[in-house]
Amino acid sequence: MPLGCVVRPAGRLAGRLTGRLALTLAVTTLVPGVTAGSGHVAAQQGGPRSRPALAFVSAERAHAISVVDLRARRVVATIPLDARPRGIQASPDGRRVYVALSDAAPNAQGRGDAIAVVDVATRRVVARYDAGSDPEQFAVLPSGRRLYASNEDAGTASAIDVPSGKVVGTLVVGIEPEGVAASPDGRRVYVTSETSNTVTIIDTRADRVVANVLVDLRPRATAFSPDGRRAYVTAEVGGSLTVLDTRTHRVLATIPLERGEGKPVGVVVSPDGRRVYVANGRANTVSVVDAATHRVVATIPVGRRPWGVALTADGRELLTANGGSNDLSVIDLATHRVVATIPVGAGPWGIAIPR
Amino acid sequence: MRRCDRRDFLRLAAGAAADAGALLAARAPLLRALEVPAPPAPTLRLGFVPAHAGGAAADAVVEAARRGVELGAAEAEQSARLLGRAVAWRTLADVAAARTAVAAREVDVLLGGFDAATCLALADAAAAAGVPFFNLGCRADALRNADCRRHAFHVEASETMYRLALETAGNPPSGPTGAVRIVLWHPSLARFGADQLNDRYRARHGEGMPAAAWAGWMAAKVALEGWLRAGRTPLVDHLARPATQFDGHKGWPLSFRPWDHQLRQPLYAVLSAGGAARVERVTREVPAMGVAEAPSRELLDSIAGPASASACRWGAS
Repeated sequence: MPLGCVVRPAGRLAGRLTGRLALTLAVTTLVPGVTAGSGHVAAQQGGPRSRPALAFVSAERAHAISVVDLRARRVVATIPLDARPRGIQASPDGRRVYVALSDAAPNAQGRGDAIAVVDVATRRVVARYDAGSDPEQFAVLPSGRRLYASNEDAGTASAIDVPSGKVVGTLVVGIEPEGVAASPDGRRVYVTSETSNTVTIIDTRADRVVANVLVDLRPRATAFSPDGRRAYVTAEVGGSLTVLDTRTHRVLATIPLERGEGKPVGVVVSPDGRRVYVANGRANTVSVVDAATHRVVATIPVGRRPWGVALTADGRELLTANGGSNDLSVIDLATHRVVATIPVGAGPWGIAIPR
Repeated sequence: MRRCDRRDFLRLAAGAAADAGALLAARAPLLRALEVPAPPAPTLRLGFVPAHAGGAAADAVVEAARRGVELGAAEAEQSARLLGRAVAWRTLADVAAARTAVAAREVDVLLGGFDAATCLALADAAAAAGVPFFNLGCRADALRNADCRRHAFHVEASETMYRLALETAGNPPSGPTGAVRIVLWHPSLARFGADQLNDRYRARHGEGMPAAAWAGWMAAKVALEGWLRAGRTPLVDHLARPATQFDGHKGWPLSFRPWDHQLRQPLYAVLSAGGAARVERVTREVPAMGVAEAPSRELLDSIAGPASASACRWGAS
């Protein structure tokens, strides 16, 4: 095939390649979605928008989503749900919020088990996706077209095609899968399994498990560094944060939090990748970890039993969903102080901030 | 010549993908010819010993423990497969069979013990082969003191733990037919994944998970976790390390005390009421989980006695 154009491959390896192969490698860095980022990290990188700064908070005991105006620092709307909401994520375009719903029947897929789709503009549930039994957490790929959910009772992860709302794949992971996170380039999804103490790494292009890694006790959630080279996994019973090399799948460090006495769950990485913030559950604190030294550089008291965490669009504030005190703590990351406490619906679990 | 635009990239990428597919298809027969059988996965072999001193009550406990081991071994196998390992388990009828199996290196871990004499005999059999023995049902304090054995690891709580937990639980409200007892586990527990574990047990065995079943399940899980993480360290030594800890769906990091190999763990106060139609509910965890108080190990040791009170002196075994 004639080239008919000039290309300058990036990188040392690409510089040694010519023609079609070089172009093929170059294309892999340009395909849609690769630069879009994902999850907690990418969510901070969007440009300014005209829509108001809102946080959508799943309230598992209230069976509702509390919509919080982050400037007014108060709940401005409540979206009722017919089941228990836990995991909550915004779509990459910021127009929708997805929330995992579980009914009261464990070990069986009931009518309440679903991922509900909330239209951000109208604040209404506009669709429900079948997500397998008892969905708890999930991740939306940067393309916005694929979603992966953990099925806690079944020991599987479901791949869901967003446009059709259909489950298009089911992958066996560890026992009692929980946290799901997508890498910034969308090529990998990490699923933590609480009983197996493993992280299952899924290739999203092949929908295939490529590795399983043993981590600390009862792994709950994963966040990626902005460059995708590190994954940070919280371990609730281990009381630690595990640092994984995403290329080799090796454990680089296991960092004790609160002297190993914390119950870490939610985790998020700063936009510059220098800080990792961990919500310590029953310890009622947030640990600030230096990503380079793997040291805890600050511990911030917040509300009771913080689990979910999210960064605001400008990366200046961190929110924690405090399930024990039914509120959000707003932390100024420059001073590491709580600057506001916002009452929300009962049992706040997770936070999504549409960009 | 003009610079490549996005359309060029996409067109050429599609061509490259087609080339790669054709290449792989052409090589497929060759690749198949080069395939060799995968070596067997390293396997952890568990031996469950149901022997006990007798009695219908003991029969029920042993059967519950066996069911717990069955679930635990199945889950351990599922987890091990993720990591390229395997787990197998078998029943060894009595102490003699257990001694033969470990001596012949047919079993890597012994699980059982429902009376003190059998516990001691199994601990000695394990010691002779250098493998761990997990005590699932012996509460005798002597096994943690004068009769302690280096290769014995006590998943079952001690008499002292049950007694101190009952004293600590105090006097919860009870009716004329109510009574408080202390248990290792209860089918109504829900936090820290306890509900999922209870559901999995119920799905397999059709009933709530009794305490003895939890002990069997936990021993299988501990055996796998220890084996996976021990590296080149002998499993017995790894289990006894102060830094080694486990998750048992109780919310606390659980560990074996270096001085007597008793598993640190919380127990549960259960209020029974209702006579024949017995209704039970967990009234409290003992000790109660704290955060800003003493470290969790100190709290858990508060119901098991301090190291200074232990009469255990590791001998040669």
